Amino acid sequence: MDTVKTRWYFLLLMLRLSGARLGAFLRQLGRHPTALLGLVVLAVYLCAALFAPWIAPHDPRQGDIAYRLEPPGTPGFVLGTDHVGRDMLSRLIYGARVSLLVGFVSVIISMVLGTVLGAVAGYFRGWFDQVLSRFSELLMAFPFLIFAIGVMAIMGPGFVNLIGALTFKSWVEFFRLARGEVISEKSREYVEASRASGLSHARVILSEILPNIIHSVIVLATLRLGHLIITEASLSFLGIGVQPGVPAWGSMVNDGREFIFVAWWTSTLPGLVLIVLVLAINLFGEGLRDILDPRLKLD
Amino acid sequence: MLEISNLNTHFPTSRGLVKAVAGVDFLLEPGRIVGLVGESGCGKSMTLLSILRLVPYPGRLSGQIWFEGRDLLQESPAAMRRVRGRAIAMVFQDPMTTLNPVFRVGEQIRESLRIHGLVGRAPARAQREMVLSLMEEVGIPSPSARYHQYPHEFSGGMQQRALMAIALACQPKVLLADEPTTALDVTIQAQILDLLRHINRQRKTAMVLVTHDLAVASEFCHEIAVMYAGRLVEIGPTREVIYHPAHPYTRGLLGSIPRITRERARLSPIPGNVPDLAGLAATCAFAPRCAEALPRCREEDPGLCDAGPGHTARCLRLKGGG
Amino acid sequence: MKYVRVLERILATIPICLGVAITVFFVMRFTPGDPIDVMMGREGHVSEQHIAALRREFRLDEPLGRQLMYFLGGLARGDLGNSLVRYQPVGRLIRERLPATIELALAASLVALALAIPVGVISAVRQNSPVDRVSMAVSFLGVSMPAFYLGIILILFFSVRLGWLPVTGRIAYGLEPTRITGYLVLDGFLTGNLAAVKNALRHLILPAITLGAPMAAIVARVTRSSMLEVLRQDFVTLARAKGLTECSVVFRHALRNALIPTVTVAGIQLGVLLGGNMIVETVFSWPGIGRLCVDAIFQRDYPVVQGVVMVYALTFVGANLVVDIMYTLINPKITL
Repeated sequence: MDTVKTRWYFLLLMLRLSGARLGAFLRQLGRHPTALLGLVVLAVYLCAALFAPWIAPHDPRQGDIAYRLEPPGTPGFVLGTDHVGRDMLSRLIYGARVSLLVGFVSVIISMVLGTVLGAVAGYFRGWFDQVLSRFSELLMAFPFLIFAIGVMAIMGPGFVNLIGALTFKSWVEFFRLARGEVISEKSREYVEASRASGLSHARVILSEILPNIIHSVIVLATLRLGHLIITEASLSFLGIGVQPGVPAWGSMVNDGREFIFVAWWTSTLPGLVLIVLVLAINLFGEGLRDILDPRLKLD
Repeated sequence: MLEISNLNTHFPTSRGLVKAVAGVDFLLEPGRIVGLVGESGCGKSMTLLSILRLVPYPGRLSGQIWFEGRDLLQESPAAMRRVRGRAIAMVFQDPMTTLNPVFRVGEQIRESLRIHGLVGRAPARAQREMVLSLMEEVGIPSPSARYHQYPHEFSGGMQQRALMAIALACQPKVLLADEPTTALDVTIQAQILDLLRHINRQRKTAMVLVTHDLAVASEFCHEIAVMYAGRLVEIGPTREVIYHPAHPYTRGLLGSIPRITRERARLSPIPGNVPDLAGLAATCAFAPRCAEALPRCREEDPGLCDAGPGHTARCLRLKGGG
Repeated sequence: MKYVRVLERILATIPICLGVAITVFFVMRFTPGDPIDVMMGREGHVSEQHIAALRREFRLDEPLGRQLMYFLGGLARGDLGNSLVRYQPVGRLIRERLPATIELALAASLVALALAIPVGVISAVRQNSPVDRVSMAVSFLGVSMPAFYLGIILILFFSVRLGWLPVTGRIAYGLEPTRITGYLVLDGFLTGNLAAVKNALRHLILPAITLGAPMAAIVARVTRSSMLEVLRQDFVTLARAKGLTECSVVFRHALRNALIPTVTVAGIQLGVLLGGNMIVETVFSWPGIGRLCVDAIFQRDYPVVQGVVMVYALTFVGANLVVDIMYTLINPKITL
């Protein structure tokens, strides 16, 4: 009865927030050409990944030994081939799928998990907060890559394992952010006011506090996305990322290492593509922060 | 001693040229205290900064500032550095933020002595002694203990005294004080003002005191200069300006001070707002808010007109004929 | 007063170190696949008795709690178990390779800080000048670039194309100085073997740059923004009003304040350094513990992986502790 109404209220609130903000947001974005550029490039990558089966000229896994290590510009192989004769362009396009999929999924899971846990911990405090905070401190004691490498070493390569490894360390950052913000928001008057008008704890968190902290959470997410994609590539480079055989930029760079003296493109191109993607994401993230941060104060 | 002639401080901004200080002239004689009063943003602090050429980028100065026979605006950076802190010293508004938080107070005072060569090769003890006597002079209690402390360990009043010790270290001839009491409690204010008065009498240091508090200015200064929108609108001996204000703005300021002794009445503020300093025309800046404005006021720049002995004001009404 | 705080900090890390050790232990025990099977996989078919004997030897048949105690006890003694592949104590393997890693890490930090802090300061002092824009663009790039790629690009350029610098390894074969400390550069100096020193340095340059680059990028940005903040403060104006030279104002008054946040960030970056370490050592075939770990991963040599991960984690905790202490000491406001 009441919960249905609250849910609608919440949904409408979110829609209203996003609708009103969307227009203003796009206008703001127009003032940050670098951020816009980042967004456009990201969109290009997303499309490439989405439509990979249709736009890739060759099968990324099939290689023709007769054409191994062809340089870029060879007819039929725009960006050359690798040491097994596979087309670089197709592999790069399919590689985008891996990076984007792993990156986005990891970031979203970390974001949701970390924010929810952080909000609850920050709001209720008590033993829940204590336990989680200690746990997160422990996790923070491991440098990111070491941790990811450790986990992947044990679990073995694979998508799910990869996402798990990345998420397991990332959620801590969102946890700390959400917790900190909720603790400071909690002492503000509008929270007291909502409680005084009878809202339950859950509703206070969801409808009142969360919309106010969502900005910082999103900014953090965009900024971490690039880092996670780089980590995935690093793991694939070491051979403990995705399964061998799945085209991934990191492993491509590694494969090309032996042939660096004779075929520079096998190692350089995948890395280049990776850098451009991460740059685009970071540019967009920075622009996003510039836009959202000052408005945070207005909120 | 210090003669400022047609000082202009301009800032090119995206909204146009902001004339923070526009055509200011005044004279500071040895041992005299001049009060520079006006609302926030009228250019009084900027005038002080301009004298020492500490105007932040992208400000540009023009005009002349005569001091000891030289035009400060023409001096080389090295020569200016010799003047700053030595011949002309400055005290700032908020002592907490003006003292460097990572250095001990004693050290910060000693630095002034050191860079102007007043310690030479004196041993550390002697240097410390000099600082301690300075601290005593400005009234910091238990100086030897306080010497080693950090600024955040001092109270507001003591921090301000420390700032004055820094300013006075090299026996300057001119002291520029930018709202030295604004950030302090009223009781401490009185103490600081006493200290300044003492220094003025003892050492014959000329002072320019910037304040937005007319009461303080009237009590303390020999002369008062009133600024509005970057311009000097009235200047004269204190008694003259307070009891016979010649400029409508000054009259407005005096009229808007709430008085406890009179019978109850509404506060009478000056209507309107301070104009945007970007792209001001060369007419009377106060005209839009002036109750006594003439049509001429919006067309001409009055210039400083005589209003009594040693007393001038920038108002067309004084030019004879109304 | 302060020293009490410092002590507090030190004591606080003990539970974390313990937590790290326990975590590593449990993670290892829950590895899919039996370590004994892994070992035996190499030998072919072995009798059940042999397997049972090995189990007893590695104490794998005892309850988990007991195993944990043995593990922690061994840890206290510095015994990290034995490598499954190389038949040597893990501790020795690590100790042999540790100097190489430390040498690399130190060189990288040195390069990073020596480059980043001046660049940050100059960018702040000359805000929006070409120097500022270029250095900020470069550092932005540095943050977006994966370490392994930078390494490969550098190799491509300096070794393959230009042939100036060697590709892999720590020192040319045959030129190693007599081993005293294990730090090649130091050993070279100590034995007067300057050819060795020169050669070792040449090998050190590219890996150090690769490892230090991300750290340099972030430190430069933080230094710049921190300096910009500080230069806006009133005490800087006062310093100028005292008659100090611009140089003195920037380097004596402003920088000390600006470095406070930089120190904290540098500490966080150490984590990046440790992580990137494995990758850089792989790319440049640097014989340190990072390479050891990566090799061990592929050989399924779990005790080695475990040992190395623990060393890394503890070093990280230690480094953060040092940074924490330094921060407490530098910032005079933290006395009360």
